[in-house]
Parts: sequence; structure tokens; C-alpha cells
Amino acid sequence: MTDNTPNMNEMTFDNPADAALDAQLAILARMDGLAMPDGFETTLVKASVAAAKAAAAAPALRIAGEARVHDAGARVARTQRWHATAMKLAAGLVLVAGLATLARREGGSTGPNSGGTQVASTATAKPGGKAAQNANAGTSADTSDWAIVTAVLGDTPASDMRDLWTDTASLDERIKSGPSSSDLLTSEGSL
Amino acid sequence: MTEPGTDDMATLLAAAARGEEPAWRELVHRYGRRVFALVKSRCGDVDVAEEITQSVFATVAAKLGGGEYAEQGKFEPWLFRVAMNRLRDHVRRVKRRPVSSDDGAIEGAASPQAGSGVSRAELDGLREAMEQLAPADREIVELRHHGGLSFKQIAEMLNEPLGTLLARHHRALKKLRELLESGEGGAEGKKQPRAKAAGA
Repeated sequence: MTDNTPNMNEMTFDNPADAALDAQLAILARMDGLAMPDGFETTLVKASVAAAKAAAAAPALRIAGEARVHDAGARVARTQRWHATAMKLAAGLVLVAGLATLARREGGSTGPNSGGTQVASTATAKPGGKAAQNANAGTSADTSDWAIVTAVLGDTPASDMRDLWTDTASLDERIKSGPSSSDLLTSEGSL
Repeated sequence: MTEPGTDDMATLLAAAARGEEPAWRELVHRYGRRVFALVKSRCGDVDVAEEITQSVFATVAAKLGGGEYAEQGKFEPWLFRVAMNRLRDHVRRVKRRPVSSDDGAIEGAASPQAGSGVSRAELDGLREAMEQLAPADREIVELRHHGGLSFKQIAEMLNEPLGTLLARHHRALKKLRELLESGEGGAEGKKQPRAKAAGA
């Protein structure tokens, strides 16, 4: 037994109430230790020296990539989340602003051909009259409203309707400001 | 058991880290047999105990040589923690306790000393009783009695309060005594399935 093996006194100190059991455990431990084959210590020494020398000679490998890559990945994910949130907020604000504008103008017409005001103005308008000018002013505002809604909602049919309304309005303008029927006849006659 | 001074130990470990043979001879002389006894008690096979003990020292040597251990007066707990980890690896690998093949060796080379007052039958009974202890309790008993660690060192190693550890050790010894008195841990008999103890 080597000097480093726990001695009996230490063992009995552990459990003074059962010194016999401590003694048996100590003997059992000693038996297990004595089962070590002769020459095994030399084998251990040689193996340990070889392992220590190999480890000391090996270049020091440091973990440099994984943690940083992982950190960068997390940072990118955070940035992406933030950008997505900002974009959602911006889109929401635009939508709310558009709807608010629309609601504020609820008293007027909400479409190129809808709304009693627009229809009434058209019905009473005479070429060159004041009603016609009012109708034209209303048309400009209505077209603008519709443009906002179209821009916000990306509504293609609405966009088409707006273009149609614009074309119609410009055609009215051309008819109103164009030459009279007699002029046309003269021109044709001159042809 | 007297602990080597921290300075002495630091010097010794520094030399061992450089692969100096005298340092390793000293370390193996101090701890080799204790580690072997602990492993042998758990696995019950001399050949396996040799293999695991060598693996433990190779691991410790590699970590020392690689500068992964800084001496802070805790070399022994660290060494035995490596040993316990290797033992757990072994238990996981074999999944069952191997049949002891060295009873003859014990009979011849390590029989109870004359005048010790302990018979072979009593020791066999004690060994059987230890196998029936809860793995955690058995670990404490083996670290204390086979590894020769102090309770403070075991507490540090297992990250447990000293009081808790002492209570567990006391409970384990009490359980051992009960098993021995009830005959369940006696040699006459009852070959309890060894996998029960080794399966944890």
C-alpha cells in the first residue's frame, strides 16, 4: 500500500458509529488497489509522458470562427427583424393616412362617377357656365382622391376607372374649347 | 493524508506538463493506485480498470500539456472527476456490468490480510451491498474510501454543499449496514442483477 492511501484512522473518523464498516470498506479499497498488476505504473508513466509531450508540441488551436459566426448570424437576424417591423409600421401608417384622408373627404364624391354631387353638377352644367367650372373643379379633386386610394391599395380596376375618367374629362374640355359646328363644316368644305 | 503543498504541486504539474518523466513517476505513484482502485471497484474487472485508468492519465496528461489546467490546489478533485467521467462513459458503453473475471486474482494477490479481522465472505457481502446502493451514494463512498478524497474535495468535485455530502455519506453507510444485516448484501446468496447498479 502506498503512503497516499487513506489510513484506517481517517476512515474510522468518518463514521465513528460504525467503525467496523469503515474498516471493511478500507480493506475493500485496499484489495481493489492491490489488484493493480505489477508494472502497470510504469505503463501509466510512459503513456502519460507521451501524451503530455504530444499535447505540448501540438499547435494551440483556438476557436475563432464558430462563436463569432454565430454572433453575426444573430445580429443579422435581429437587423432583419427590425427592418421588417419598420416596414410594417410604415405600411400601416400609409394605409391609415390614406384611409383618414378618404374619410375626411367622405362628404364629396368618392369615385369618378359616384356621388350625388358629381351627378348633380354634371346634370346642371352648361358649357362655359359656372356650374360647369364647379364640376371641373370637383372632377380634379375627385381624381386626386381616387389617385390616393389607388396608390395606397394598388387597385388596378380603380386605376383604369380613373384613367377613363380623366380621358372623359379631357374630351369634354376639348369639345367645349374646340371650334363650332360651322367651323368644322367650313373646314371640311375647304378639304 | 497529507496534501502536497500548492507550490510543490504547481511545480510538479508544470514539469508534468512539459512531459518530464520524473514528474509523471511521482504523480502516478501518488494517484495511480487510488484511481485504479476506484475504477476497479466500479467496473469489477482488472483489464477494464487498467484501460480506464490509462485513459484517465492520458487525458490528464494531454490537458496538462495543452495548458488546459491551471493549478489552484484542486488537482485531485479534477483527476477523480476525469476518472468518474471515464467510468460513466464505460458504463454507458457496455450498458451492463461485466461479469467479474478477476476473482481468482483477488483470491491470490489481494486477499484480506491476516489479522485484519475481516473474512473474505464479509468483504464479498460488502461488495454486493455496495452494488445495491444508489449510484450517487455509491459514488461518494467509493470516492471517499477508494479514491481517498476528503469530503471537502468530494464536495468541490460534485458541486454539492459539504453538509449535504456528509449527510449522504452517512445515509449510504447506514444503508450498507442495513443491507449487510438483512443478508441482502451477504455473500451467501442472492446474486442480485449487477446491471442494476451499473445501469445508472
